[in-house]
This record gives sequence, structure tokens and C-alpha cells, in this order.
Amino acid sequence: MTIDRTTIEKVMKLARLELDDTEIERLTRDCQAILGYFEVIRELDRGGVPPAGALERAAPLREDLADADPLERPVEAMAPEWRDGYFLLPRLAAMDAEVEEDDAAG
Amino acid sequence: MTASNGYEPVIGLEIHVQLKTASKMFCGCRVEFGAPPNTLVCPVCLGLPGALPVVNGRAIELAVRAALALSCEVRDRSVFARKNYFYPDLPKGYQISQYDRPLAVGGSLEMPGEGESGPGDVRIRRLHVEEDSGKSLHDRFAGRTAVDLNRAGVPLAEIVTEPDLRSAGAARAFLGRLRQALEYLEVSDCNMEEGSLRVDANVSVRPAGSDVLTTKTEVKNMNSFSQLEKALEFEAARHISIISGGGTVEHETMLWDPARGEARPMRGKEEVHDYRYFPEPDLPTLELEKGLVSRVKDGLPELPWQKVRRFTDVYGLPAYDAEVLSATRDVAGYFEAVAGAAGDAKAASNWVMVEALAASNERGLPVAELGVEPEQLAELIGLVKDGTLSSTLAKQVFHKMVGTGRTVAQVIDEEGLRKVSDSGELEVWIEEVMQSNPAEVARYRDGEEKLLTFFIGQVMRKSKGAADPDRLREVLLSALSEAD
Amino acid sequence: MMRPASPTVAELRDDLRSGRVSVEAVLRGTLSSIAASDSERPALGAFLSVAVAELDDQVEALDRAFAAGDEVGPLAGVPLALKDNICTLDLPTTCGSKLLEGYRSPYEAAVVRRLRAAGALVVGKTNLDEFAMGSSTENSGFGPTRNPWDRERVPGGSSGGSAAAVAAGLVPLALGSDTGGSVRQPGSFCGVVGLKPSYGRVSRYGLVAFASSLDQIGPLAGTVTDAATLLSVIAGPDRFDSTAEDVPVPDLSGPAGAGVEGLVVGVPREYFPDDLDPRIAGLCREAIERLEALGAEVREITLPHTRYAIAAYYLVANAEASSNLARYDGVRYGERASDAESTLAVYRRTRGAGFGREVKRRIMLGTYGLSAGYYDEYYGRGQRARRLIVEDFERAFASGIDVIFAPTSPTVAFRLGERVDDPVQMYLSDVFTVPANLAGTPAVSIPVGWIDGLPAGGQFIARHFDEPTMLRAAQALERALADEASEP
Ligand SMILES: [Mg+2]
Ligand SMILES: [Zn+2]
Repeated sequence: MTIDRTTIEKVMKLARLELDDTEIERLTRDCQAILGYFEVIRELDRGGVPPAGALERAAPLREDLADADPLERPVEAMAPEWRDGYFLLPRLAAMDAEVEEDDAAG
Repeated sequence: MTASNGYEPVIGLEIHVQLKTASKMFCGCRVEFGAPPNTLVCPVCLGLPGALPVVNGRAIELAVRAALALSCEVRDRSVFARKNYFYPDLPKGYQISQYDRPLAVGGSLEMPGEGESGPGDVRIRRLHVEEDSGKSLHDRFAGRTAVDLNRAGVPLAEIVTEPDLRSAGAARAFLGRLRQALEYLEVSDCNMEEGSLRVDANVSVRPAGSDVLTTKTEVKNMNSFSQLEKALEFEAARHISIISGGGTVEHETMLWDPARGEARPMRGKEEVHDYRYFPEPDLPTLELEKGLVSRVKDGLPELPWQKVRRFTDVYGLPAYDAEVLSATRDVAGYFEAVAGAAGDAKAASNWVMVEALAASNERGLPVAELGVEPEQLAELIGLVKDGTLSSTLAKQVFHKMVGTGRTVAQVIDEEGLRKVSDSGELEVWIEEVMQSNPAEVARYRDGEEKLLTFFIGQVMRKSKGAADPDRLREVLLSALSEAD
Repeated sequence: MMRPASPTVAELRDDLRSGRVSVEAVLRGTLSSIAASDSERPALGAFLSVAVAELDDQVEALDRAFAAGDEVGPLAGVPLALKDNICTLDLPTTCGSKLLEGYRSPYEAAVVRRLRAAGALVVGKTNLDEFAMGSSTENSGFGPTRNPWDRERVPGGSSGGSAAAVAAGLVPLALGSDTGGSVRQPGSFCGVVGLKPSYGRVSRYGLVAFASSLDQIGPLAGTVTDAATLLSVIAGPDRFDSTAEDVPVPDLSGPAGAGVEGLVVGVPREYFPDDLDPRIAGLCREAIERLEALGAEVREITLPHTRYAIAAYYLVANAEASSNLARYDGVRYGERASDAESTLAVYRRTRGAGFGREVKRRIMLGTYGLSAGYYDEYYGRGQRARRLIVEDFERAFASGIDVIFAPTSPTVAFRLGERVDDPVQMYLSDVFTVPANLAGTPAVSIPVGWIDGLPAGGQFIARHFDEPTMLRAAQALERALADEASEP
């Protein structure tokens, strides 16, 4: 269980976190220490224990009614950018001809 | 599409259908198409801090219904999972879906008599429930992406087929059949324009008849049945030309461009998706209530292909007629009601296929809402059969009933559309016809007896179809045989 | 045992009923002591926001009701503080994060609705480690909270603001959230009662999620009885939380004074390791002798997988957190980075600038632990260890143990800054608290004594949903220790 800088940078992309160089350095060190401490858990690999999964009891089901918990404030009151009823943000580059971005629809 | 250069396409489909519920999958927001943006939202479907999902039981029931109709094995216990990825219209940064323990697995859809379309049955790998995302609009505001979350959280069933389709045409036929079935089941509206039915495809090609595994590509953005067929034809041909040219197909996602009629690799070399699935900790196991599966099974309507078989077997209808009459539950139900009331399936079938469907298309209404009760149409059929109405007259009666809700008797009465068999009235028309056609009268009297049909036609036209054909023939014969 | 300066709920209720004091006066007093706690240097820093005019209507209505002798709710006129990761309409809900600075929730948490219905006065929102990630309240984006007993020390965390507010006598009651000990450990560091209910006992609707399968809202109070009273108000099923179980809430005041006669108390050997601070071990051993003297049967037990608990906890919690925190993308709410000129930049910069160091660390570890090729190694292993820990507890309770007693934390409150650069040391302060979260069992920490002027706590852990037995034992010990303290 260890993690190098390349992996950290890959995970940063996956997690959509921008970090500066100092942060990356420090994070790599921290993560290595933490994962090192977690090594102990490998001792459990023998024995074929099934993992704890979803809660065993049954999920409650709700009736198909239009009874949403109402919003006490309009949506736009919290929106960073809003126009004509829409949340706005800079145009997704995957839809743009000029910009290269590794951000693609899922 | 037949194998080209000795290759055959191998196609699997991944279909998303919106389940027909009143509220969303995990919250009580109303489901509605076309509402003003961001008006059908709440803490849950906006992904607000602290909000939690609660499963819509009706959505589960509809998914079970679809799964059973597709002969899937429905699991008593299944598990929701989070599919993690970032996208502006995915409010929580993950979609609640199902992953390694889906609701249903291992079904099939019968695809009879499609000839070149491939093997008879298409196997269904799995069916699971999940939530829809919102919509991102990239062209509405310059330089901005606009997000509308009304659709976020609408319940979906995802249906994944095995790669059993061997041509673009077969894929189209399969999708048509699936849509018909889901509409029958009232599980979904399956409206591709409104996005309640969406389809992606996996395409690869291989030497015909072999079972070699080859690289597949994923094709997205096919927004109609014909675009699906065109896109798959294009993509299969692209694979074949690459492979037969000695190249290798790259594993990638292709975006179909209907305007240009071509599929292009999705831009930006998307980082290989890593969805980091894990069990959704906000939802316990999805456990189906005891008896739900058998109750849903018992309540399943007869499916289109079962109906076709019964219509040919029981009513002796030709296969084509049976298909037309089973196209929707509306038409099939109407036909059966008319056939039952009239006691004549053949006549009912003709009337529904021709007159009722014409009126339905013309008015854009389901046949059941045309305002002609099945009993009334049956009565009309009876009146034709016992000679009270000519079929021309009966058709007029039918079209006058459409949209008015009037009965046969009312229409005949109010419009004066009785059959005329009184010889006095008939003689007036005959007299007029004979006077305006003296040459034909002379030729008839000289022995050209086949002109009788001509005179019958002329009188019929004059009577606007009201003349009783049998009585007319009698009176006409005697009038023509009389010397002046 | 020293008790915080504020009256108990029962005392306050008597004063309000008899008219000796008005709700308005209670509120005024509370607000002025909160202000005072922050005007001293260094500031206590327990609160991030305080109600000003928001409570006027409620106060007036309550005073009218008291004057008229009308029926009022069980917490009528009682000032209460909420950890700032519990959504409120009137006050901001920041989670101690710059990213949510000024965020006002357009809906209110289920527990807050219940509190209002019970008449409680929500006087303010308390400081916490950002998104409840931490054990010292130093990870707040708005500065640390200090320990009222020694302002150079931490109050514990992540519910440090709530614990400090109760310990300083600013409010008799507060709510925190406990994911790996975040109510009990600050309770222990501050010398107050900290109660983590059974998983599923209290609705999480409106609690900003850190690790969904572990989070539980819990009371902090001056006494076990007050904590139980608060729990009985907030407990019970909720149509907005699928994990809040539909089981009746038992009478939590019922066992009051019932004592521990005949109870079997298990003492897990793994919670008294050789390197445990002998003063803490000593105080806990004394408490155990007290319980025995009160008629409990004490048995040593083993919870053999305890040594894997920290790793299991962090592997599972970080994975869930990485997903729970994905929604903070600057699209719908929160502080969007101002210079972002592409979608991707909005995400990366908003999150890069908005989240603090510990939160980023956990998002990174959690994302990594769920990513392709690592799932089994990290998240899978964590969940496997979790199952073994669950089974440890099941075995213990099946063997006839009614309640488990152990230290809450291996140390007393440490100095500010002492552990911020050593995440592993910081994580180790949760070593005795995380097992109850992993197992979903209820647990309550109560003060058991003093070490160099700093409080230390011991915790009782009971079967899932057996809060009554747990509270019965905790209350018996609390009274015994109080009697001892008052002995001449
Ligand atoms: Mg899907
Ligand atoms: Zn909603």
C-alpha cells in the first residue's frame, strides 16, 4: 500500500482538485504515511471474510406522490450564476471546438 | 444489412427508458416534460448538502413489470450503487444506479420471422433502475453551459442486451419491438423526441459466422429509429473497412452526427472512465415485498407478440392484419370489443384497420377516444350485413359519428341516411338516368346486358349511396325491359 | 464531578414554569455569555453564527404560553446550539468550510424541525472541523475552538464547538455529529456528556454527510439525563431518511435511577493496551470498581479485531466522503472560484481553493481507494474488517454482556497545533471511538475524573438500539461519581 506522485496527480484529476506543487508534495508524504499505517489490515486477508455491504434490512419505499420537501427560498438565491431560470457556468469544453479539455460526458 | 466482405456486425444495445411515474425516483418532485427550467426541484434532486434519497416504490414495480415481460430473473434483493463522475447536470457528482447486484438479469425478447435480422431471440443481460441526470444546454447562452435540473432524478430502467443483433436493421426492429412492449406494459411513454427512450450501441464486426472477439466501439447520440439504423450501418461499415484494410479498430466512444451522417470519436480523448462504483450507503438493500413478483406477473397484460398469435389463431386473421391490430393496446382493445359485439372478426378487422385508423390518424386521437363506441360500430356492421345499410352509407354514418358521440340510430335519423328501397323513389332516379343516357338504353335493349352495372352505378351516385342495391336491381330490370 | 455552570434542563424548566425567569431573559443571558466567551482573549470560538432577531417571535410566543400556563414542548425555552453541519433556514450552514461560507440552506434538517416543535431555542451554530473531518476542531476554515478548561488546548473534534459551548456553560444542550467519535471525544476532552445514538435512531436528513454509513447526530449535555431528554426529542423514523429505522423510540427517562444492580458490564482488554496513559487507565479502572460496588457484575471481554478499527474506519469513511463531497462543484451553490474560465476550472479551482488540507487529504485517499484496481485493496478490505468488528460486538453481547465500558480517548485534550502536521497521530485519537461507529452500536461518554486540571471520559457501549440499558449504566456511574465528589 503506497502511493507515488504520479498516482497522486492522476487521483487529483479524478477528484477534480487543483493543488499547487507544495500541496502535492505534502499530500504525497501524508498519504504515504497514512497508507503505511493502514498496512495492518492486510493481516485479515486470510480467512475469506465477506465485506460488510449495504444495510441488510429492506429500504423503505415511498408512495409515488408529488410531495417533495418544499424549498423555503428560491433556487436562484443560492446559485453562483443564474440566468432565465438556468444555472450557468463556463461552457463545457467538450462541446467547444477550440479548447482541449479532458472533461467528457459520462 | 448483409455481411459485407465476409464480415458481419455484432451489435448490443443499452437502452434507457423513463419509467412512467408521477414523482421522481428518490424524491417527491413531480415528473413533467417541458416545465420551465429548475421548477421541478427539491433539496434531494438539487443535490443540496444533507439531502437523502428515498426509493419510489412505483418505479420499482414498473421496472419489475418490464423485467418480467422480458422473461428476466427478478432478484428479491438488489443493491443501489453510486456511479461517480463529474458533469454539470449531475447534481451530486454521482448517479444512484445499480451495479453488481441489479434488479433483474438474464431475459430475452422474442424476435420472430425477421429473416436476415439475426437469431430469433435477443438475450437481455440485465435490467436495473437508476436516476436520470438533468439537462445541459450548450447553445443557449454564448460561452456558457446552462443547466436545468427538472429531469434530474427521474426514474429510469436501463436495459442491456447481449450482442445478439447482426445488422442495423435488426437493431432497429428490436428497438421497435421493445418500445411496443414497454408501451403495452404502460411502463414508459418511450418517446424518443422527449427523451423518454434513449439508446446507445456497442458495435464490432467479425468474420461472418465465427465467434471471434473483436474490438468494439460505443455509439451515442442516436435520436430516432432511422438515425439508429443509419448510425449502426455507418459504424459497422467503418469497422469493416478498417479491418479489411489491415488496420485495427480503436476502442472509443463515437458520437453520431445526424446532420453529416457520420459518427466521430468523442472529442478530448476522455480519460478512461473510472466510475468508482460502491454500494450506496444512503439506501439499505432493495428488497422486494413478498408476493410482489407474482402479483406483477399475474397482472401483466398480454404482450404484442402474444396478441398477434392469438389474433391469427382465434380470429383467423392474416398475419399482417394481426400485426396492425396489435400495434397498440388501444387499437387491439378496440378491435376486440368490436369483434366481440359484432360477432364477426373479419368485418371488425376491416372496419378498424381502414375506417377507424384513418379517423384516428386524421384527428390524432387514439381509436378509443374517437367517440364511436365499439357497440355502435358493431351495430353498424350488423346493419350492413342484414342489408339495412349499404356499405357506402355505413361509412358515411361512421365518419359522422366520429367526434360527436352520436349513436348509429341518431346519425341515420338526423342525417336522413336511410337505405331507399321504395320503388316509387327509386323509379324517379331511374327515370332521370334513362333520360340522360338514351344511347345506353338503346344498346341495352339491343342485348348489351352488361350495361346493367353502368345503370346501377349511375342511380347509386344519384341516390348518394342510399339506394338499396338488391331492390334497385329489381326495379331497374323491369324499367329497362319496358318498351316506351 | 464538576458540572458546567448552566442549569440542567429540568431546573430551567422549573424556573420557566414558575415564572422565576422568562424565556426572553434566558435568551438574553445566553447571547451575552456567548459574546463574553469570545471577547476574552484568546476567544473560545465555540460559535460560528448566533441568532439575533430570528428567535423573537418564538420567544414571545413561549413567554405567553408560560404565562398562560399552556402546554409547552419538552424543551420549551431551552437554549440549544447546533453543530454547523446541521441545516437551518435562519442561520448559515457552513460545515466549517470556506466553500460554504455564507451558504443558507433552503430547507431545515429533520432534527431541527423536531427541536422547534419541542420549543427549543436554536441560539447558534457551532464550530467544527471542516465537514466534520478531524479530532481537534483545528481544521475549521474559520479558526479553531479552544478548550474551556485550558484555552491553549483543543476541545476535541469534530464537534468541538458544541462540546465547548456546553462545557463553558453557554448552553445546557447542543447537538453534534459522531462519525468516528466526533461527539464522544470532544465530550471527553471538555468534561461533558457526549452521546452517539445507534445508527438509524436519528434522522440524518439535513445533516451534511461526511460518511453516510457512520454518521449519526448526537447530543452533548451537562448530564446523562439531559442528553437522554434531547435524544428522545430528536429520535425516531423519518420519511426523508431511508436509514432511520422505523422502530419505536423507547422511554429514555424510564430507567432513570434504576441503578446497575445485576447488569453485566464487559471490559474489553483491547481498550486498555500497555501503552495507554496510566492516569486514564486508572480513572477508568476506578469507575469500573464503582460499578462493581453498585452491584454490577464486571467481566473482562475481548474484542479481538479492535486493532484494525482505525484502518477500517478511515478506508470506509474516506471512500464515502470522497463521493459525498463531489457535489461541492461551484455549479449550484457555494463559493465558486472567481477566475475559472472553463467547466473543468470551475470544478478544480472551486474545490482546490474551497477545501482545507485535511478534507483534500481524505478526498484524495477516498478517491484513490475506490478507483479501478484499488477497490479491493482499500475499500473492500475496509468493509471486510468492518464485518469482523461488527461480529466482535455481536459475540460479546451474545455472551451475556449488557453493556461495555472503556476509555473514550487514549489522551486528555492535547495542545493546539500539537498534532496538525501528523495525521496518523491525529487519527489515533479516535482509536477507542470508531468501533462503535463501524458496528452501529450506541455509545455515550461521560466524565470520569480529572488529570492535571483536564477532564477525562469513559464510554458505555450497548447493543444496537439498546440506549435504555446504556443510559441506565451511564447515569448510575455519573451519580456515584458525583456523590464521591461531594463527599467531604
Ligand atoms: Mg445508465
Ligand atoms: Zn426533487
